[in-house]
Amino acid sequence: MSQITANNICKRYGDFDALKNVNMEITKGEFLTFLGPSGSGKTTLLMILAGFTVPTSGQLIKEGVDISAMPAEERNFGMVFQGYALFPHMTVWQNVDYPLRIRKVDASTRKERVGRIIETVGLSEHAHKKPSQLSGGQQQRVALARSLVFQPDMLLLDEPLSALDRNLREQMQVELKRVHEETGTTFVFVTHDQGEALALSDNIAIFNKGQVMQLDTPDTIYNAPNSRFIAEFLGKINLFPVSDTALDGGVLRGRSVDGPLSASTGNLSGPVSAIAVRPENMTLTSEKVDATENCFKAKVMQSTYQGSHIDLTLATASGQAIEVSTHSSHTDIDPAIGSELWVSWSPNDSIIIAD
Amino acid sequence: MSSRINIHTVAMWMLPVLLLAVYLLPLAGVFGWSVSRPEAGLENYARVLTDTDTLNILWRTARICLTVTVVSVMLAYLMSYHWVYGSPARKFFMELCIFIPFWISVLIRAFGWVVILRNKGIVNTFLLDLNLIAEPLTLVRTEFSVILGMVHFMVPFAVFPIAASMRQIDARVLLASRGMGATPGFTFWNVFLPLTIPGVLASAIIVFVFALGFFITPAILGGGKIVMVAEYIYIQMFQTANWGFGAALSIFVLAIVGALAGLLFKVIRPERLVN
Repeated sequence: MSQITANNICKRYGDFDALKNVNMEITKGEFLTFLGPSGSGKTTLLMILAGFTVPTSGQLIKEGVDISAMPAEERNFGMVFQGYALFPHMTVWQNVDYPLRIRKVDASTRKERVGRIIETVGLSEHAHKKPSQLSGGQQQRVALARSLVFQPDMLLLDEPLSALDRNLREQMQVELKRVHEETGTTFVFVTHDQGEALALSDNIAIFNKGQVMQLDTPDTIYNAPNSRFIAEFLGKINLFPVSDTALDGGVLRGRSVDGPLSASTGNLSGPVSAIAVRPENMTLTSEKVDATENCFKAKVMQSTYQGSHIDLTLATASGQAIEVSTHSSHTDIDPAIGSELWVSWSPNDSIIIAD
Repeated sequence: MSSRINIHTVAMWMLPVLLLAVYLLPLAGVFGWSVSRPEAGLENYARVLTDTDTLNILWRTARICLTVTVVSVMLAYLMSYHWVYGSPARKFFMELCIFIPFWISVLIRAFGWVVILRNKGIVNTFLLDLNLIAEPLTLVRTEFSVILGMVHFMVPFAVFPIAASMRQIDARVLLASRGMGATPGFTFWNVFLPLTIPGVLASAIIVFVFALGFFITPAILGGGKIVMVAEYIYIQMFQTANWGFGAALSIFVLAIVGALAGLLFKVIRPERLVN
């Protein structure tokens, strides 16, 4: 069920288009992530959702009503700001109580709800402290509790984990996921961290230069990117430009400078410019495998041991650098620098790039 | 090497020595007078606390200083708000209003008010010409004119601490309050005002202490009728030659200023303003 629909949202600052014709449906209860490089428009759209920014054109529809011009204070959305924006002169309890005081909730209900949400985020022992006495992670929890205590229709999070160190960030990811499941509130989360986006989201919207390039599940975006930008933006990938492409019974064939390539096609339409493959889907062998396509010789240029796997950079005969990630226990190959190995992959792991 | 140390040592001792020579020694002298003239004892201090004329003047001084403080701080709060949050044009206008008074002598400003307020001054001429009044209003040599002149002088000083505390407020905190559904009024009383209170208190104490020592403005705009404690001390010292009593009054006022300064540091904790 769609909770919010964005229709052709544009935002212009002088000559700069922060958002260009953005269309989007946000489903009730989902965890939606806006991912993109800085300046791609993800925060602008979040601010428009929050009501702090008014779009230049386009509509924001909530349950059939256009709310584009509705001020933030009337929307009943919760927001967690970058840097948390806690009230420094209030205790944890007073901070969390604040939105309920605005709503003139009666004292006993307030006490019960504040107590419950503070317990949910694990801060009961710190309720009487001021934000300055808390660690970054604890402040983060206060911000979360404060934006959830009034049971908002939607929770907007603007890079909430970016200020935390890595361990704490991973811990807070688990926490966020749990709170999302417990409350059932729609979460819209802005980040520039790919790992975070893949780990948390039901759906990811990838932004570039003011446009939504793809909105899909993490799995679809990773394994079936709809454009070269998405393929290169999310994770590592090897791209092979192809020519003379032809469709042959569910298989796309084409020629790259390093040899013939093939890809299993789903429902392909339109032109093809490249075939791509993820480093972890490539196989390295010392002898040539029994295949005529997706198979060629390459020389090891660099090898990095990562514990569970080894990251290799190889150069093909044409000189193209490719990245391969191989399981460390596959010891039948010698990844020494300068040695020549055979690289191959299944047509099912080929990703077709149109543009 | 050793000569350099000597230069450093001399430089380091310069300030304490100056302080001792031009401040502490004369102060000790004044204190000495207060307990020795005309004869040894605490007679002068007893007079400060019992003499009706003196008490009247102290009470008037306190009343004027409090009024000036409240009015100045309120005006400064509004000005600071426009200075910090206004459009560029309004910011520039506020800067003119705050900085230009600093370049005009306090004497000229006081006489300026006399020109405006006296019986044949601008205000009275205007009101008489419009037939709104039959006789000129008495505006100079009143408590009103003294307060007006003092507020005019004090407001720019009151602006700085308040503006500093407003600048320190994280804009996202105000945005957060709005986002949770607060009206501008609710945000002001619950977030904005509490966060600027240290600046307001600092400003109030600065104004009050300044006002306590005001001499020229009350002397000109009060015209001998509205005498405040600083002018009263001057009269005791240089006109009636009551050196001991004048000294005792000075020490009394100094003690009050000292206590307020102590309060300033305790309540506002200046080191927190710096952070």
